[in-house]
Amino acid sequence: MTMDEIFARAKSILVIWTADVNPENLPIFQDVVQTKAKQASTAFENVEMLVESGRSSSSFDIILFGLVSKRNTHIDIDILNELFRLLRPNGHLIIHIEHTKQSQIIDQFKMCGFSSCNPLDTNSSFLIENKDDDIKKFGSLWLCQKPSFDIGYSVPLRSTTTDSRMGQISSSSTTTTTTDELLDENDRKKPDVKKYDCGTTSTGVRKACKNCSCGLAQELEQEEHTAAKQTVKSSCGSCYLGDAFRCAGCPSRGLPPFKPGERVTLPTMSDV
Amino acid sequence: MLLEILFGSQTGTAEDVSERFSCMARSTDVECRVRSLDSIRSIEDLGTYILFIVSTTGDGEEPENMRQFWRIIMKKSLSLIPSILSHIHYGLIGLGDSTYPKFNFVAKKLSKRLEQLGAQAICDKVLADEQHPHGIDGCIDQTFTKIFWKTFGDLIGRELQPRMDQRLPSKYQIQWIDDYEKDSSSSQISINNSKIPPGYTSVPLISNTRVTSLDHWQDVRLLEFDTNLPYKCGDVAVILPQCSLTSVHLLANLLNIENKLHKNFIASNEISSLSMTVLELFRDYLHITRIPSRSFFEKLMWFSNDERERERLVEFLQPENIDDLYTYCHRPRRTSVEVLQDFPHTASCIPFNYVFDFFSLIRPRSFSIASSPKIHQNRVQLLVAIVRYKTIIALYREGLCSNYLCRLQPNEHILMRISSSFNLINDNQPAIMIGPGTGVAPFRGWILERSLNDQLLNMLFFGCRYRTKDAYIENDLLKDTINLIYIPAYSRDQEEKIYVQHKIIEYGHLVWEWIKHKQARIYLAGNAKQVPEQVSDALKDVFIKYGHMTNEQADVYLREMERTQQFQRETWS
Repeated sequence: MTMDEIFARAKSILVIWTADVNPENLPIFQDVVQTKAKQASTAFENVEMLVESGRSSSSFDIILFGLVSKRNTHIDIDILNELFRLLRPNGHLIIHIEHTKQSQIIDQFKMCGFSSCNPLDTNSSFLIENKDDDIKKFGSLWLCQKPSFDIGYSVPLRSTTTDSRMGQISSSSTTTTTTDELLDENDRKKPDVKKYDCGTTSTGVRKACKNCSCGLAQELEQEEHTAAKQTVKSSCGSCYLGDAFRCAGCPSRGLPPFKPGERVTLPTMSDV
Repeated sequence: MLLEILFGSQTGTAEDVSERFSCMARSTDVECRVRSLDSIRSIEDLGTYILFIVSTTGDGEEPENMRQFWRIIMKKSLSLIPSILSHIHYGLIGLGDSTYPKFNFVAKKLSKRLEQLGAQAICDKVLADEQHPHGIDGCIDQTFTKIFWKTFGDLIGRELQPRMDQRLPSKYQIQWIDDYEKDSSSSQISINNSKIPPGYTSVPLISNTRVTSLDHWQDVRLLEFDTNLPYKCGDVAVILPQCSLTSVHLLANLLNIENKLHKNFIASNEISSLSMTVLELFRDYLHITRIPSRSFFEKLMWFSNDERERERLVEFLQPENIDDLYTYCHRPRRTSVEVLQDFPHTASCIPFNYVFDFFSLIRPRSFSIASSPKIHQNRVQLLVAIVRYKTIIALYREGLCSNYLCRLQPNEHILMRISSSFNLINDNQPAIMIGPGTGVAPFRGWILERSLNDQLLNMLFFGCRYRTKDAYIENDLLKDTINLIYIPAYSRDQEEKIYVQHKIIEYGHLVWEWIKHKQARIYLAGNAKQVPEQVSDALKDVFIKYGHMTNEQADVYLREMERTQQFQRETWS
């Protein structure tokens, strides 16, 4: 729908203003709005009184927020929630936002449940005639729509009695959630990895998973590599054999076996 | 008197352990049979002496080849017959990874159930842990192996001394097909040239595009295939990968069989037979780049005649040196072929017919389909994260299937079949989708499809690391025509880590509105390690805060949602 259509179809409009507004501008603004929205009745509310006045839910087709004053009005999640509540399903909120605050505020819109938020072009500037030039220059008008569903009906919870006696496993259920009844508190505990008695002098080591995709494998490899690089000279003379026969500090560690006497070419590793 | 070894294996680990125990049994003249658990059709199929070897996969789930058995053993009616399994004496090995919340749940549940039904444990079960300093094999040998064979021996009245150092007969006999025999009409076994396993289709690749920025360490691809295989959003594509030709040639070289690479052979035993070329065997059939288990080294001892290599193998296999073996092989993820490289004399002594004893089979991998049959007609698209990382070994460690897909060029064919997985319900209910990383794949196609009807409401929580580097879903889903509330969590774009679970709490009241008043369904897809637990916790926090529930009520509410399929998850490990 175009802006003209939105206004033309509106039956009720709410204009939110702030204390710093020039009082003369309000009736002028109302006229302007009324020209566009011939069928609509227009209500005015001070932002400070908004929550207190407790208007009924879903009662406005359009809410114009903080458009009448010269500066932009601060908006927060509580105000937004209230505006959302007041709008009819498919209703529109129009607000002017500084560019620097844009992403933060749009996030808040989404949080409240607005299903679409789009900036308007300057054809709608009749709405912000009262704003200072620098405000207009560094901000945009935004049009946000409330989705079409109606909030307000509830669905009763199904009854949730669970039979906790063991052995009463439903034959029709093959999901693991039901077989969970077999497990008690102890079963759910995980083993303490540090307590594994390995019977050797190995220290507990962090191990990367098979499909490491978080970077731990790289990290561990770097650690090993730094340790290995500290001993440059081979002390065993078995470098040419594979890793199975090399000592821990072997400079050829990590390479496949090669012919004795061949030049040892260490791959240039840029990971360190 | 037969020992049945029954395994439930997802990635082949449990199958490996079964194989090892089978070798031990045979070495001490215990007749044994190894089968996967899905060969059990009814409770009567279970024999007297059983060794159960069961893995836990995904989010505490039983492996696929155990699902049928699970239904059978968990049937309510079994409890009605007192001590129905009292004739069974069993051992139980559980395989798991304690970094996952539901550590060894399958083994734990099976143990309780067997106990309930009156079965008698031969000895204490072992819950082996990948995180054990010596891995699964180390864990099992430390607490289970000796005592199992001792007690089992007592039970059957024999002293059992299993040993892994005596060569056993190979699994298969090999017959080479000479060229002239191929034309012979009396040839019993025909050589199938197309060799497509049943159920699979050969499907060509159209495009293979990287969707993460080049300066990002992770390489994620969008692959598009041309096929009219029917599927729906939520299904997975099951793919049979191939080993790289480099590895194939390297192995052939080490086994001195390069000159026979293109020769056909028939491998047979009492149960089955198969025929192919050596190249096909190493590339399509055997997983030659698998990280070897302990029994690989034990079998190398059967053939080693080089003094230095034998000595090293003996050392590696000594119980007190288990850490050395682990440091050499498992920690840096050394592949079987790389191990053979280090033991070249031994490798050259391995007779060809024993390759089936050394290597297990390539297993198919599943990927969630990221396209929609309605939007992407005749196309299957996959989002694949390439697994590639460094350890102390110079060459990069690579995931078999992801790298196979990474190397694919347009027009190259792969073997694929479709399987159903996620049950994405197509009705008018709003959908709340949580898909960090490549978990977002099934939702990608589904959101595009749902947007054809602008009455449907969609909310997506997507998590990645950097907005500019790996937010690959945004290109596809942030358009005017797509009806979506999109809530990203860029974990590394700020000092504190922000994940999808934080966003769920942040948008909690909206999530609650949708669940409570619109009967929205929640779908979660991602890695099983931490995501399901964190997300469940976040959802419960939302219920507590906005639904005004207690901890217990929130717990019950979420479980009820799961039971009625209002909350579904698909997680992988």
